[in-house]
Amino acid sequence: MAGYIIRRLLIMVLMILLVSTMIFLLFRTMPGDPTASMVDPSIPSEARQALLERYGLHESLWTQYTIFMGDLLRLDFGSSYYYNRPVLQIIQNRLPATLILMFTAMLFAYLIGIFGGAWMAWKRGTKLESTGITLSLIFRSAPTFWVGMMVILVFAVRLGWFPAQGMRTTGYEGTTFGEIFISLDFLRHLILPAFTAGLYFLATPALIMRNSMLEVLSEDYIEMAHAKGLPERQVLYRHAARNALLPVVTAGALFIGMAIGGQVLIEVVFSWPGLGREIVQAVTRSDYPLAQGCFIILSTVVMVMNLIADVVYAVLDPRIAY
Amino acid sequence: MIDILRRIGNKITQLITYRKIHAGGRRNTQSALSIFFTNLKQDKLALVGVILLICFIFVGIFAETLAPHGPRDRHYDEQGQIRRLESPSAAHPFGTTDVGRDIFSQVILGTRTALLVGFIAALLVTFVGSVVGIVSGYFGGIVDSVLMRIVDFFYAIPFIPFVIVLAAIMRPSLWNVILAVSMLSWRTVARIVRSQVLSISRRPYIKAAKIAGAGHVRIMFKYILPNVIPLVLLEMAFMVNWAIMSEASIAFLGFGDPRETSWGQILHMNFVSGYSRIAWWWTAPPGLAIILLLVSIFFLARSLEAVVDPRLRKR
Amino acid sequence: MAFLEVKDLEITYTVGNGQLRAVDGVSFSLEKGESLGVVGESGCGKTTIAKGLMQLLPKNGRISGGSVKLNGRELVGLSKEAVRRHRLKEIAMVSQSAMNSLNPVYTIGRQLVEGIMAHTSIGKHAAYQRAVEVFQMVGLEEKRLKNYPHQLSGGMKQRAVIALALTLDPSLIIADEPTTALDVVVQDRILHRIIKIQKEINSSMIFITHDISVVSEICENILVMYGGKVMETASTSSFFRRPYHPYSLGLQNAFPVITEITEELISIPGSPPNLLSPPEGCRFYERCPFAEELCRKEPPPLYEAEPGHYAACHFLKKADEFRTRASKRETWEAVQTRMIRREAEEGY
Repeated sequence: MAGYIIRRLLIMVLMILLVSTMIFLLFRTMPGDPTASMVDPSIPSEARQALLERYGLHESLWTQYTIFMGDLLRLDFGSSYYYNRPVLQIIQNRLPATLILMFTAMLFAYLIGIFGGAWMAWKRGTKLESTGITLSLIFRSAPTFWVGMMVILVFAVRLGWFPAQGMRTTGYEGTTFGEIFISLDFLRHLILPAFTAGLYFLATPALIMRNSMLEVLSEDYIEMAHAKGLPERQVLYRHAARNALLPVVTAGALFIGMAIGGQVLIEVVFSWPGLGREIVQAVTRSDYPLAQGCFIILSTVVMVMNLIADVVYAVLDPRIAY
Repeated sequence: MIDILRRIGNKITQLITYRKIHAGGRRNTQSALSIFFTNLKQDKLALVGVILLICFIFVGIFAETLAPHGPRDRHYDEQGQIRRLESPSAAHPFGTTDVGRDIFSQVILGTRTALLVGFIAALLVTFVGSVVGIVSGYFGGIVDSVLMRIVDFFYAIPFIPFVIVLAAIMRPSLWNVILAVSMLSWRTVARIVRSQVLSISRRPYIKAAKIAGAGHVRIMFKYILPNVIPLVLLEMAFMVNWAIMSEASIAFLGFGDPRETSWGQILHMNFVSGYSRIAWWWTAPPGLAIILLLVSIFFLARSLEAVVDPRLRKR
Repeated sequence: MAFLEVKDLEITYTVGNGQLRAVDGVSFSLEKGESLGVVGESGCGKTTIAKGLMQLLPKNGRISGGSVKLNGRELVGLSKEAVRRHRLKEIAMVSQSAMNSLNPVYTIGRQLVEGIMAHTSIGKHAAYQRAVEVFQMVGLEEKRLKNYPHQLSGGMKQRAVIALALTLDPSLIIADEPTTALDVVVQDRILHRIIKIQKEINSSMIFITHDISVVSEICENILVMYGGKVMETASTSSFFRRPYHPYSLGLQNAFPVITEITEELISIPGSPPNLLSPPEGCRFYERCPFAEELCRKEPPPLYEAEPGHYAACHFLKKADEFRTRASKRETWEAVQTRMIRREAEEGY
């Protein structure tokens, strides 16, 4: 097992390096001034010269690349043009917000999705099942940012139950992690975006779980479980759902890559100060170092999640030889 | 002329013909089109989907005639004041924006953009993905490993952040949006097609063809391709949805083509104006349009699924 | 009053827009500790009977008539919960695909213990001990309890499933083709082990198979089914000494005898009837070499050919003549010709 994890970790590191290389190449090929991707074109020329030296921008592409990668390994993503601070600092600031929102939404989505999917399969052929499927379909067809906008309209503006944006009420002071993240104010702000993101995530595990359950339910060991005289609930959850979960986990891993996109949209709609919103703003402001840094970190998050999903799958399925 | 058309039609039907081949070597030919239509008659939802889709396509084609006003026309009332943020009325069924533009016309014109982006991107993605999938699945070995590593790499890249980054370095035009969407999405098609091709390649008649001396290209075209086409068409339907959704998201973030009217663009203007919390008539219609279009394509896709998977057919 | 009494059992499936009566008026009885072999072609209803007795029919199936009395207690019409309590404890099943009957994500031991604890209140430890006991009975080592199904061979998995069936000392064991998927050497070993165990714990057993030779070796009684009905039933010795029903005669031909290997096997031409619209008269009419007009119109009831030996045929008196003729190839070829001619007349 340990060997498996290490192998996957190595592959992941390789992928991160490859993605960074891709970003490096992309930004060097953009139209206009290629140095603008590392050095702010608007700063005074001596400072500019110094920075151009620093990043090797007068030298060969290869030298630039080695400098770039060297910096990367030291987690030096450069300096943000807009904020005038190291990119790393801004990322550290924004990352927790993104992660908390993402995990809350995923928890919500997967719990409801898995139980919902299992239940839909159990109730195969009934009206409830078709309604469930149609609903999932509609949710999959609704753009997540639009749902966010509508949710704000209804719950925040019309009904006034929750705040419409941001992570905390302006003027709220908090210094420790606990004060910032585990407070009622924060939770109130978290609910709407997490709910919207959850709705977006929900349809996939639900549908996959349902399909998986249907396949599992026709397996012989389910009949055996019944033949043993086990109570229905036990058969459904301990035997059927447990086996049906495996494809959900794999599909979940693939889905996460797409889910980050939804995350970005929701952060924008709810003005949630996370990495997603940051990358949008960075690009809009032509703040390239920040955009690069955000992208690399977001990719890393995706890959780490994929790795976790793979490991979880290996744990759940004893047939996987590692 | 008619003769040529008929020959083209035959060729297309041949291509779409879904050949079910039994282990014993006998061939059982069933036209996918006929299965599709039989199923359609039974599956009411699919029928609704097809009708809706036809309506959308109709609107898309004749958008300019159907839209009562231009998307950027400002409207003034009797006193010469701009009609800002007016709620729906007879003159403006979906109301007006904060600078007095007619939302109804915008939504209608947006249909064309959605359909264009959807189908072109889907076509591109499906083509590339299928080729990769077929080559990879058929040849196996090193070719497969290399291609799949490449696909794995693309899977590691988060979709929207990548598109955003592309937007940073490319000019915002519709074609660039289509390109951006296509650059990543083919990975899903490639994987799915590949696993299908893998199972087909193992079948005895493929081995028989190889022994008989058939060339690789010939085998791929004549034997493998017809068997994956239903799956490919199904995936393409899903890709259309994905492309439309992605374009809307990109436009919403502000990276779309500002010269084109698209539903995402409408919502972008809505959001940045700050009036999205008040002007529900501005927010709701584009989103509902997206939902309707995507749902109708989904229903259509479900009946395509019945062609691919006989278990799902309605008798 | 026998230990197990099945009277006029009817099991129906709802298929598309029709009703398929897979089991049509089957009756038999079994004493405690006795074994009954049920033979027939695929689709004759034997597996359906097994599932029906356990009340494990799929959603579109139901017991539409008749009664099943186990130890005097009527099983048909019991509540779901009562049925559940009977399973494993009173009636245990060893099914066809034992390979797949084990859940791949749990250890074997856990699956055995689970069954025990679902019906008794003994603790986990005691349940585990019981599992060790039954494993010994089937000749599996205790350490196998900690294995996952994929780590065992086919024969071992089969034995594990048999052990599972034995854990609560059921009074009735239903074995549905338990050895079909195994190679012949393992088959033989397991069959004999099953019989030995059955005698040890004195349970009744219903052994379902399409292999008539297996029944001859291990069962005391035999029930021949065809098209959802009973064709013949008797003690095994009586059956093999003097079979009466034409179908049974055909079955005997279809199995190779080691002393006559050079002979080509004589098979029964044709295929079983469509049970969605079953024939009016005898179910075997189409393929029977001795069929007459009466057979086509009237379904034969089970007549007593000898004491304790019943067969559903109108012409039991001619059994001797039938036996001689049935051993000849021409008799069955004539059936083939007749079928082709009939098809030509009716079909096109």
